[in-house]
Amino acid sequence: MRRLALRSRLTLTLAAAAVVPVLAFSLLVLLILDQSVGDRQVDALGAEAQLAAGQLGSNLDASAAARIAGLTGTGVTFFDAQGRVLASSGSGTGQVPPRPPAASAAAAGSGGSTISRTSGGLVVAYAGIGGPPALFVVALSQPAATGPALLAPLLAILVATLLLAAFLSLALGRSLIRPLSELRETLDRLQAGDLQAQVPVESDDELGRLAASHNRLAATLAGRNRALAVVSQAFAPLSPQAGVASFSAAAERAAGQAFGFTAVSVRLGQPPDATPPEKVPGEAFDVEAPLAMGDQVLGAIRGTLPPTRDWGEADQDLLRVLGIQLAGAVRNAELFDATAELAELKNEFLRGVSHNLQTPLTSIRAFAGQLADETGDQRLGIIVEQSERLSRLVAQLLTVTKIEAGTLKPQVDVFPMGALVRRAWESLGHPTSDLALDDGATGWLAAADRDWVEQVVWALLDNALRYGGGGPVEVRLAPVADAAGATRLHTTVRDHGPGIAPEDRERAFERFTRLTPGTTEGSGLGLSVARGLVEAMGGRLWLAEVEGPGAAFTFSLPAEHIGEP
Amino acid sequence: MNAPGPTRILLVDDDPNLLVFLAGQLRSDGFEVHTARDGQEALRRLEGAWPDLLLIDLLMPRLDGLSLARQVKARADLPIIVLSAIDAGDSKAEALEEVAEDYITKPFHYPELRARITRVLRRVGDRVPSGQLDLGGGVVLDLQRRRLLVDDQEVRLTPVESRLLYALAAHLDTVVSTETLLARGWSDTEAPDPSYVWVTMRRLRRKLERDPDAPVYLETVRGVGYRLNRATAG
Repeated sequence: MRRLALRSRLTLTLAAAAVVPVLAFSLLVLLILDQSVGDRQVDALGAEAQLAAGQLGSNLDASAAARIAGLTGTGVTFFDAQGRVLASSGSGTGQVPPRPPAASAAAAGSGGSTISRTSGGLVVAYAGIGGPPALFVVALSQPAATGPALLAPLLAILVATLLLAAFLSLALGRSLIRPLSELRETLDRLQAGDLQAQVPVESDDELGRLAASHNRLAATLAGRNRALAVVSQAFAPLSPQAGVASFSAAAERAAGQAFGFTAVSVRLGQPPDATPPEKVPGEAFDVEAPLAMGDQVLGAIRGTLPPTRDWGEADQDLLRVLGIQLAGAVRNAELFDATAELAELKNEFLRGVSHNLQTPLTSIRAFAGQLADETGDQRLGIIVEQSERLSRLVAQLLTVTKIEAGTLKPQVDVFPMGALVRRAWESLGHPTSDLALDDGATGWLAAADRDWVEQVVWALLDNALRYGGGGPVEVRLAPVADAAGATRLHTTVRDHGPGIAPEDRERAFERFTRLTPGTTEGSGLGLSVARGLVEAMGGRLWLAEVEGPGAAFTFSLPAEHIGEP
Repeated sequence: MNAPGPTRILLVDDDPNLLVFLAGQLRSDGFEVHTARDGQEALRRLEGAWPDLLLIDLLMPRLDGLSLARQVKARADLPIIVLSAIDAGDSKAEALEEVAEDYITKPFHYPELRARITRVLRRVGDRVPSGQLDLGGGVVLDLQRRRLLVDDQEVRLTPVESRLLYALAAHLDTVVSTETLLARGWSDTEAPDPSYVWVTMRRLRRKLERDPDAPVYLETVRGVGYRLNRATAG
């Protein structure tokens, strides 16, 4: 079962503390009042009875009873010595008092009176007339005056007291609870991440101390949070190529900022001291964490703290985190350097391969060309063409690595596409197919890298010849406005071969892909390199939709209108 | 400016076959040709006599083309054309642009090389300040490094653009004919057309003019050609 809320319990406690004595006191007062009222009534009634007895003669009839009743405001009854009722005024309550006890008759003889209380709530005073022993007894009766009249105001006072007690205890309870609920709200905000939340310290008691220690906790948390932010952001602006030294410098900066070190150093290749340095009170002291990567320790980070600074387990953990981060960053930087070195080696190798292949090809082509011019021998023309083809394939290999590395930079020039297509066609030297060039781009120049576009067109024409089944190769040029309103020059190369199956459409551009199984002709690089080059020039290359058999490739390039000078 | 007699070319390549072929072709075109097999040999030959033009291979044993070109340029402003099996876009080729006037990718057609030689030799007559040329109004030409500075922002120039600006800057405030510009920019291209100059000028204006439609620096002189101006003060 849940216990009552603290506020309710406090209220109840205070209320109980107030109500119990009030109740007890009220009862006591009631008793005393009751007693004294009863006594007074008895005294008065007894005196009146004696007075009445003294005044009465022997004429004890109803009129005398009524007269005395009118004088005293009580019921009056006369008894004879045997206790028989002689006359009665009626008591006002309709009751007739009981016959006087024997003792009262005896007492009455001495001029006194006897008091009796009836079970019907009457107080009766008996006094003897004549005697002693008394000949007659007069009885004055009155309802007992235990006062409902007194009870009502008393009850009102009691209720008012209770209400006041309840109100006071609520108010007091609230003032006691308020600092606690403020503390709770602040803790809630703290939990929600608001480390600036402070509880006002209003007193020097337990509550005040609780508030103050909470505020210290919040400040410590905020400080540690700031340190954590600094540590976690330490290497954010750096990329792996920044180098190991930059990472160490960044770690030193971050550590100084996060922990308030007066001096900080990163040592690589040197694990931290086995025993942590001793802290001498009043002196600056050193703390240190390893640059750990799994089981490996790459070095240590060490900082000097001012004597006033505390250094807790949590601070040490945070420094350790910085050490781990730095170790990761250092390892990444080292790997990056190694990779860059390897990439440079690979490029150096490819440059060498390219040079060693292109140099003899240059001679072969040069001499064959010279001889072809001199002798007109067709076979020498074939040597020229084939050596050129080989050169292009070698160049493609080099281009692939540059596309991969993203280091391609076009040397943009302006040129008419039609002339370039014709020249590329001639360099293929293919006599068996026809070129059908539909130049719809007169008045426009392509703005791109001339050599690259020549490679692209050459690859597309070569492809169309290879897979076109000997049919004519169609090339269509057209300026087309793109979505942004700029004009692009579209070049479409179409063959009339079997075409490309829908499921192969994207695969056609993947490297080393040959769509015809068993084919080993070609490098499988042509389309992939062509697409890479076109994209590096800000264009696109795609497989166009065609009607009828055959495949059509289209590429777009930035275009310039010739216009006026 | 050139010494009387044929233009002298020093050809440096480690492929003896290419040396023989190129030397033969160049001689038959009227050049005086000397050859060297590597960079060291080239430096020894240069101690004897300075040629008018240097044709060097980029990859050579002992002293590679780039180092050779740097050593030569440190001593004299000798025009250099680099023959290489690597093409533009390669980091080496970029480094080369600062020291060589031009380069040609192997394998090449001899007529293409011949056209580039002609173009480079033609440019030898042009002299622009070797440093930067301040055109005023926040535009600075830095042709040695093939770039413009517009309000201190670097704008890269393509080889053709820098060749045209070079020709215009050599004749600052003077009209340069469209034909001259065409020859400076495209002499190695088959059937060059004046429209290349028009379009390239328009592209250049987009790079250096505040308002390309109201040019201040690159002025069209109708029916003749173009003129490079400084911005007038104010």
